[in-house]
Amino acid sequence: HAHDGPTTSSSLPREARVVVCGGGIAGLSVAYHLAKLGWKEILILEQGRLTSGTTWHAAGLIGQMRSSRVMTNICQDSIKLYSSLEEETGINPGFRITGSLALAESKERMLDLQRTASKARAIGIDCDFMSPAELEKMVPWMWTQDLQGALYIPGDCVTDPTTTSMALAKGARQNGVKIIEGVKVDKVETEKERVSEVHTNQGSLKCEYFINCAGMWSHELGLKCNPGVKVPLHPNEHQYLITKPIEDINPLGLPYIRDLDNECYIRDWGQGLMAGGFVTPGKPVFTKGIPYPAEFTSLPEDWDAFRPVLDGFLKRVPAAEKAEVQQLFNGPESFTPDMSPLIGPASEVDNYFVMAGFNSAGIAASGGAGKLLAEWIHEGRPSINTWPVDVRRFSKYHNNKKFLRDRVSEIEGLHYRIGFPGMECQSGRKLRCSPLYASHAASGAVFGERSGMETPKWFANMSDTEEYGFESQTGTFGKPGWFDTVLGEYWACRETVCAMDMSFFTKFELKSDGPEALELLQKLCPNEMDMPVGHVVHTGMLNEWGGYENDCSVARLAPNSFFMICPSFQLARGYRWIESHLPSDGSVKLQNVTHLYGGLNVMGPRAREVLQKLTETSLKLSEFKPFMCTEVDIGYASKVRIISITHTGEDGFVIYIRCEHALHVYDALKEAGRIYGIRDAGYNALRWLRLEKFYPYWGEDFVDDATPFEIGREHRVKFDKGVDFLGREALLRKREEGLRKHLAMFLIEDHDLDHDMWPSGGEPIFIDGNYTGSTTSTGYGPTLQKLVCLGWVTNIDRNSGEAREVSHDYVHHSKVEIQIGNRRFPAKGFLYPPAVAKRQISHV
Amino acid sequence: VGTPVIPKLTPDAVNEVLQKNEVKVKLNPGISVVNSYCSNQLASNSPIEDQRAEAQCCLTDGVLVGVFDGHSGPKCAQVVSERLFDYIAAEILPYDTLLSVYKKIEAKETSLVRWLGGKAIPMSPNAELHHHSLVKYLYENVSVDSEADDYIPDMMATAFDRLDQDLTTEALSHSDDISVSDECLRTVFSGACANVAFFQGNDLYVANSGDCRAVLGVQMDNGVWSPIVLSNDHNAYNNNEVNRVKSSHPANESMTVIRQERLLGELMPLRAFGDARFKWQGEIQKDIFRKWEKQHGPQLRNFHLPRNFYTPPYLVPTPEVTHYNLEGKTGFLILATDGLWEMLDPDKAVALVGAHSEAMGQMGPYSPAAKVTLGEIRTALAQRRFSLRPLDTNVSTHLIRYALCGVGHTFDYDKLAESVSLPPNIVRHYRDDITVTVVFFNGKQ
Repeated sequence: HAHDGPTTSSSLPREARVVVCGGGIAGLSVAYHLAKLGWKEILILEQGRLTSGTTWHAAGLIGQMRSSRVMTNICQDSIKLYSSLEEETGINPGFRITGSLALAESKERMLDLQRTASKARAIGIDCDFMSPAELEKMVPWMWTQDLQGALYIPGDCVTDPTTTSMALAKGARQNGVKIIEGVKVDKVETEKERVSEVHTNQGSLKCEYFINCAGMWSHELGLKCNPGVKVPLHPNEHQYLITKPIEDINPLGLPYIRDLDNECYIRDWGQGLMAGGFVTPGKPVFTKGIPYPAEFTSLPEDWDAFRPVLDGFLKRVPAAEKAEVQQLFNGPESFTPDMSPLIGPASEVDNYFVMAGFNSAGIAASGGAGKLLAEWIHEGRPSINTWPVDVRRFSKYHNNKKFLRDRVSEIEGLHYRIGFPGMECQSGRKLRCSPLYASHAASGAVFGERSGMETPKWFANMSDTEEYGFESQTGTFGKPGWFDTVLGEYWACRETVCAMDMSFFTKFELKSDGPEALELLQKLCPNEMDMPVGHVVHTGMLNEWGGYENDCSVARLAPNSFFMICPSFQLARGYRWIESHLPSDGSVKLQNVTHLYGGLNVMGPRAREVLQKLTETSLKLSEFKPFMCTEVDIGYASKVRIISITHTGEDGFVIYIRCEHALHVYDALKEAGRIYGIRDAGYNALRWLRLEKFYPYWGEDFVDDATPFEIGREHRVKFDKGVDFLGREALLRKREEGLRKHLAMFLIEDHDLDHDMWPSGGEPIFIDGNYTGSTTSTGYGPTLQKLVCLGWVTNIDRNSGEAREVSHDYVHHSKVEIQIGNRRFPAKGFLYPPAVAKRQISHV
Repeated sequence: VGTPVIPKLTPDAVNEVLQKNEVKVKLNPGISVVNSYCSNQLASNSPIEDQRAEAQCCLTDGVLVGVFDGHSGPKCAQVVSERLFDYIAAEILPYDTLLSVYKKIEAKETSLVRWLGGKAIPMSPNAELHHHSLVKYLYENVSVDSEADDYIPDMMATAFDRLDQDLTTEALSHSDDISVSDECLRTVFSGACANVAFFQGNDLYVANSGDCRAVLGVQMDNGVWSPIVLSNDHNAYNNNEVNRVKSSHPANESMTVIRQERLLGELMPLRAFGDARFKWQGEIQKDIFRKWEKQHGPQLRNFHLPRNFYTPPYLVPTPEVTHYNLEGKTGFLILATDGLWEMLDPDKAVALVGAHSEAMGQMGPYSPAAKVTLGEIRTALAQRRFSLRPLDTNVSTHLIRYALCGVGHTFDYDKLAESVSLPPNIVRHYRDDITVTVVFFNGKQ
C-alpha cells in the first residue's frame, strides 16, 4: 500500500470548517472537490490508514451505464477526474480506458442490453453490439457459442483503487486539505440540530460541517450523533479470485467482461485474470458490529460461497480450468436497501452530510459523487436530479439492522439481475403495513413497497393461480401479466366505485395557539393557505431556488390547525424541511401522524352514494364539493376525516381513519358498496388514472430541481397573496427567463400492446431527431387507448447549443419519438392533458 | 375433562437433552487401530438402566468398548460395566506375567485397564468387595495350568462366566454388613445384557450376551458403506437360541421354557448377567427373600418364582464371540443397545454414520492445496455442495436424532420435540433407553 510521503499531520486542530470522517476514496474525493471549490479548513479524519477500509481491495472497474441518470453522470465524472489525476498530482493512478463487454446468454438479457444501449447512445455514450463471432475475434479465449451477443462500451475503464486514492489524497493536500490518520470519531455533537463539535479518541474539535464517508462504519457512525443520523447500509462478503498466469491467455489490453447471466466479472490482473461476482443470497458480515481497530481487513476465503462464480468463470474461460490460484480474496462491501448509494444531507441534522453505501461501485462512483456532493454543499443544492441517490429517500424504518441484514443479502444479486420493470424485493418485506393489510392479502392483493409500506399493486383473481403467481415469475419487458386485472380496476374507478388503500401517504399535522401555523404555511407554500376552515388546497413547498422540496395537499381543520398529505417518500425529508423552518419560539407544533391514520381512497361516480350509506352528514356534490375536508361519523367510527380529493382526478374521497377503526370502516364500506359494484383497486390502476390526466407525482416525475412552471402548476402559485413565500424571488426571475425545460405528456403511436416492448421509465425522447430528455412515469391509458408517458423535454438549438423555450407548440407540433429498446415509436406530445381524458363518464 | 397438554420442548432444549451425555474421545495414534470414538445415551427409564464403558488394557495393547443394557433395575448393568473389562483383561494376560500382576493388583499398585471417556469408575459402594473377588480370580488363574488355551473368544467367554459367577458368590456369602449384602442382592437380582468389542492388533472380537448389537461399517470399492452385523441377538426371534434353550431342558418343558416370546414368559433376552431368579435354585431364592424381607419389611412381599420353574438355570451369561480381521480396512463399529436397533436397521445406521463421517471431513472450510487447478477445485466444490451438513458433530447423537425423527436427510423437529418431551411415566411405552457408541478404526496393512 503505497503511501505517498508522510500523510499524518501530528496533532488534531481545535477547529475545522469541515470534518470529513473516512480516508477511503469517498472521503478523499469529497474533500478534494470541496478544496477545489475554494473551501478552507477541511480536515479528513481516518481511524486507521488511508484506504484501509474497503477501498484498498476494490476491483477497480468503472462502468458508465448505471440504473439511474444521476449514477451514470457520477461515473462519467469519475472517469474525467481519474484520467486527469496524473497530470495534476504526478501519481499514475493505474487508470486505463479498456472498454467493457456485457455478455448476453438469453434473449431477455439481450433486450435488457438493448434498452441500456438506447439510453447510452441518447446521452452520447458510444456503444456497439457484437456478435459471438466478433467476440471470439476480440477475446479468443472466451467461450462464445452459448451467447446471443454482447454490448461493448469502449469508454469504460479500470483503475487502481489504492493509487487512485493516493493521487486524490495528494491532490487534496495540494489544495490545503489536512489529513490525519489514526483518529477515530466517537461522537458528533449538535446544537439546535446543527453540527457543532466532533469528539475523537484524540480530543475534540469544533466544526461547521460534518461529512460521514465512513464506508461500512457509516451506519454505526451515523447513530453516534444526537439525534441519530440514519445511514442504511450493511456489509456483505465479496470475493474475487486471482489466477496465476494462464497458458494461451494474454489478458492485457482487453476490455473487462461482465458475464451477467453467469453472475461474474472478469478482468486482467497482472499476468493472470481476476474473476469476481455477485451472488444470491449474499453473505452479510459483521452482524454484531464491525471490529475496531480494523485496517486492511480481509475475511477467510469461502470457496463454497464462491462456487457459482467459479462455475460461471470456468464456463466462460475454459482454458482457466488448468489455471492455478494466486488468491481467493474475501473482503467486506457495503450494500444499501435499493442498490443505490447514500449521498446528500442527513434528514436529522443540518450540515451533516453522508456519502457511503456504494454497493461495490465505490471506485467507479466516488470521483463523481465527491464532485456532486461538494457542489451540493457549496451551492446548497445539487446541480442535477439526485433523488435516486439521496440519503433522505429512506426513513428511520430502513435503518433497522435486521432489515438491512436480510435485504442486503438479496440486493447483492440484483447487480446482474435482468432489469424487468416493477420487480420487488422479496426480503425485508412487511417493514410497514397498513391496518388493512391482512384484509387486502385475503382478497388477493399483490403488494409492492412504497417507502417500506406494503401497498396493493393490484388485486388478483386468486382462483387464477397463474395470474396470482405472476409476482414470482421472471417478469417481462412487454405487456405485463396483470394488464387485464388492472384494466378492470381502472374501469371500476371510472365507471362505478373503487376502494384503494392510500395508507402509504405521509401525513403531518401543524398546530398553533395563534396564527403562527398559518403564517408558517404562507411562508413555506406558494399557494394561498389562508383558506376557509374545511377547505383543502394543493400546493408545493419550494426552496429558495423555486424547486419543489415537497408537494402536498393541505386541509384546514380549524383556524390554527392543518392536516397535510405528502408523498410517501417525504416521511423523513418533508418532516425535516418543515421542522427546520419552525419558529424558534416553539409556537408551532409539527407532528408526524402517518402511523396513526390509515388512508382509504373511495373513488368513482358512485363513491358519494356509497359513502352516504354510512353517514348522516350530507355528501351531496352541492354541499361537499371537491377540495373540501370534514370530520364525520362512518359506521361505528366517530369523527373520521374525509377529504374530497382522490389524487387521480376522479370524483370521490380519501378517508383518513384512525388505525383502530380502519378495518371496521373498510368492511362497512365494502358491504354498503356491494350492490354498487365496489371493488378493490391497487396502485397500478391509480398510476394509469393519474397519467391520463397528466398528474405528475413528486419523487417519480419531478423533484427539487423542478419549479411549478415546468410541471404546469403555475396556477397554484399566488404571487399576489401578500406573503414573500420561499422561492418567490426565484420564480419571478424564472418567469422572466422563460422555460428551458418542461415536463410533458406523451401518447405513443403505432405500438402493438401485445408484441412490442413497453416503456418503463428512462426511455429517451427525441424531438425532430434530437435527444431532448427521458420519460419518468409510464403506463397505459384505457380511455385514450394509448400507452402514456410523462417525461422531461428540452429545446436545445442544434447549432448554437443554446437552450430555447419549451412551448406547447414545440412539444405538440414537432415530430416526437420515444425509443423503447432498439425501436423508436412516434408519439404525440402535450403540455396539458387532452380533454377527453378528464371528461367524467356520465351514467344515466 | 380435556387431554392434558404435554408442553413440547423448544429446539434449544431438545438439543440440550440430546447432547447432554455426549462423549467424544480421540486416542493417541499408534497405540491401537482405534482412532477415536463417539458415544451418547438418551434415557427412557429414570435413572437410565443402560451403561457404557470404554477402556485401554494397561498391560496389553487392546482396547475394550462395551454397551450394557440393564433390566429390572440399574444395578447389574452398572456393576458389570465397571468390572467386566478387568475380568477380560485378567483372562488375556500372558501366563508368565500373571504372578507379578496379581501381586501388584492385590497391593493396588496397578490396574488392569485405563478408563476412557471421563467415566468415574468405580461407582459401586462395593468396590472393595469387587476388588477382593478380582484378586481371588487372578490368584486362581496363577494356580491354573500354564498350558491353557489362549484362544481369545474362549477367554472372553470365560471372563463373562466368571464375573457372573462372582456376582452369585458375593450375594450368597454372608456379609455382616447389611448394606454390602443388600447391594449384592440388588445386583444379582437385576439383569444386564452386554456387548463388548475387543480390538487387539488388527483383530476385532465381539462378545455378545443378550440383545445389544454390534454392526461394522466398511466402505466398499464403489464408495458405498456396507454393514456387517457382528453379533446375534439372543432373543426369541433367533431360532438357534430358542433351540439352545429348549435343548438344555427336559422335553416336557419345551412348551413352557419360552412363552410369549419370553424366557419363562417373562424375560426378553435369552442370555444375560444377573437375573438370579432365572438361575438359582428355587429354595435358595426363597431363603434369601425371607431373610431380606425380615430386614426390609413388606415391600418385597410380591416375590415369586417364575412360573414353570423346574430345572434351573434357565439363563446363562456366556457370550457368543465373533472375530473380524481389520487388516487394511478403514471404517467404524456401531455398538448399541436394542433401544436404537428397534428404530433403525443396520443398513440405515451404517449409511448415516458413513455419510456423517464424510460430511464431517468437509465441515471445515475448503482450502485447495498448492498446485491444484481451478478445474479440480470446481469438481471438489461440486461434491461438497450436496454433502450433508449435520446438526450434530457427535455421530452417536446424529444416530439417536435420526432414530427418533429422521426423514430422508433431514429431521422432523415436531416429532423430535414430542419424543423427548414425553414425561418419564409415558416415555417408556414409546422407546427404551438408548446407548450408542461408534468406534472409528484404521486397520494396519
